[in-house]
Amino acid sequence: MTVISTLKPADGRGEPRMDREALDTLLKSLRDARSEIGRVVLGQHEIVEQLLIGLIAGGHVLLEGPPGAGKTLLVKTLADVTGLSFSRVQFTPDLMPADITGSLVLTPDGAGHDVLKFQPGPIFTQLLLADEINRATPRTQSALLEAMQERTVSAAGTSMKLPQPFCVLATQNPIEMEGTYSLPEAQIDRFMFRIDVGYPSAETLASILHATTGAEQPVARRILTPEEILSIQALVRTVPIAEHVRNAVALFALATQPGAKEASKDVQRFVRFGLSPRGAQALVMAAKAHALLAGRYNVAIEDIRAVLMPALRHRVQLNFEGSAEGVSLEGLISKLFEHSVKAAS
Amino acid sequence: MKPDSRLLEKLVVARYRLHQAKASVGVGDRQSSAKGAGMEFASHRPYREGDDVRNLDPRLMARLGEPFVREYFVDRQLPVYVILDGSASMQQGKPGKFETAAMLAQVLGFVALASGDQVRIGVTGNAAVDWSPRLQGQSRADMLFDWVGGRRIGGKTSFSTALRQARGVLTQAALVILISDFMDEGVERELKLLTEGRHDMIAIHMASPQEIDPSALGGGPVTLRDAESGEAIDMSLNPTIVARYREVFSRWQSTLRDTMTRAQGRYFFLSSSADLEQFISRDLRGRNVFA
Repeated sequence: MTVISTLKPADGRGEPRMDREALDTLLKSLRDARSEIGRVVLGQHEIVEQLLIGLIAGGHVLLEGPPGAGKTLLVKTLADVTGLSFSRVQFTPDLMPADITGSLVLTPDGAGHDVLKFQPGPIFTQLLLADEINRATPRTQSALLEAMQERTVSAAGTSMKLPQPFCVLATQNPIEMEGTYSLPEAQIDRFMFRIDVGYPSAETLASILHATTGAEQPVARRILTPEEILSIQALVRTVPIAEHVRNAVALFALATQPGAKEASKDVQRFVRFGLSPRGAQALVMAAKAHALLAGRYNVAIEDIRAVLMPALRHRVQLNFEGSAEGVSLEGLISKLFEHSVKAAS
Repeated sequence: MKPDSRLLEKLVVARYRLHQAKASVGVGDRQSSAKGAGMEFASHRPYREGDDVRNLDPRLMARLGEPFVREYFVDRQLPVYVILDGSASMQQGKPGKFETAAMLAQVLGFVALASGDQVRIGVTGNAAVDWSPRLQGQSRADMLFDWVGGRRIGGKTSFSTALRQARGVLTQAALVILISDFMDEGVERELKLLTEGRHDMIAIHMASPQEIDPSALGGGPVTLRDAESGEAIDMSLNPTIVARYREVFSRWQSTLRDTMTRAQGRYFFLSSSADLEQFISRDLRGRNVFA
């Protein structure tokens, strides 16, 4: 096991000094994990990479796509490869918050009395698969808010810490589907990424059919440990980001907010919600993770660009006028970002 | 034709306010009177075989030694029905009443979708009421707009006959919004019968500018023809007749208003030439139809 103790504080300049060998071992394990997931989940390289970035950046990930596109398999394979404890909650319209967080039960104490004891719910795990999260009502979805932000659960009058690392991987069906509810803005902002999972190409599908309909099913090997994940998460935080890159993100965040004076006419007219400060933090953390996964120890503009869409597509919302006018959200985001990069340099 | 997107943006957070109807269908976020899986505590009752053990109250069991279950109010959706008069008389006037009425129906249906309620639009005029599918969720807004836009109208079935048919569909207490010119002799009776269903009723009475004030038609001999029955009356328009017409029209409005008020419903009058956005924000919102 590689631990983060190999990282030492800076020599007065804030930059960490590290054991190169330990760092290489960690990064190799991370890349091996990526390959191993790719061996089971075929043809989803970019999605697997984004999922790993979300995990090592300490974020939560929302996977959106139609049923049968492999979302649940992806998450289960990630659990197998990382060795994280894993729970799955199937969200349904009658799911109650206590079904997720846990509840009090009466149990015999062995001395002839019954005592009230808190029975932890499935949320007390390291990797929580919230399957079809938007089949539950927004009020039930909100049961996850505290856990996602504070990594704690308040129940039975006390606040309990969740195991570390803790990551929620939620799947949702497209909101156009019958019986789905939109996630409230407060809830959706807590996801670092929204990754869109589509159907595979004919070639990939043929490979999937070959690999999954035979007598033997591919099983992922365990490559990482939870401790290594924690070490990598700590390492991600130490990746430096240059001032001009940080300024570009700050300018960009304000440029997406329709109420800000930095917002363009298009943003004022077509955007309902822009990027929140939490969203900007998520963007920087994801870019740091992307740089590290690419083997670099600093954040370049290219890293921000690479994680821009998964970090923003669920946070920045077009209003009705934007939708009616056929405004491309991705096009607008890209344009604003490039403009902010120029302004900050 | 679809409603203006800037108007829809203002209504994204609007929510219908109710007097007597209750949320009773699907799974939503309005408290219903039904008990089951929910968030708001309703009451305790003794445990019965078949009850979900998740609802056993451990504190009460520890204190009393008897199993009791906690009951919760279930959160459901409000059923909203918008019944839009599509009979031939609604095509009369300039601008035509149906065009404005259809736009209003789209907007009122959108309010229900955006606030998580379930909506169904019924267009009358043909032999049977033409009902849309039950729609829910803001993402269905375009489907609703397209459905209303694609209706075939101009039939000769009276609005009262359509309301009689609709009563068979409105089996649960719902929010029922009627948009019509109410030019039908038996309509007050049907309105009364409809209000017995403990619905929250809203009647939006449409008229064209020419129907409100026929003096613009000028004076002299005119033939008034019923667009649905084809019946015609020859008459001579003069100031006395116009004044008398206004008086009858005003009395008719009062009758409709009184019928609705007695049933705790609400009556609104809308000219087909009126500014729809102003009607929605000043009249409907101003009188707490939605907040």
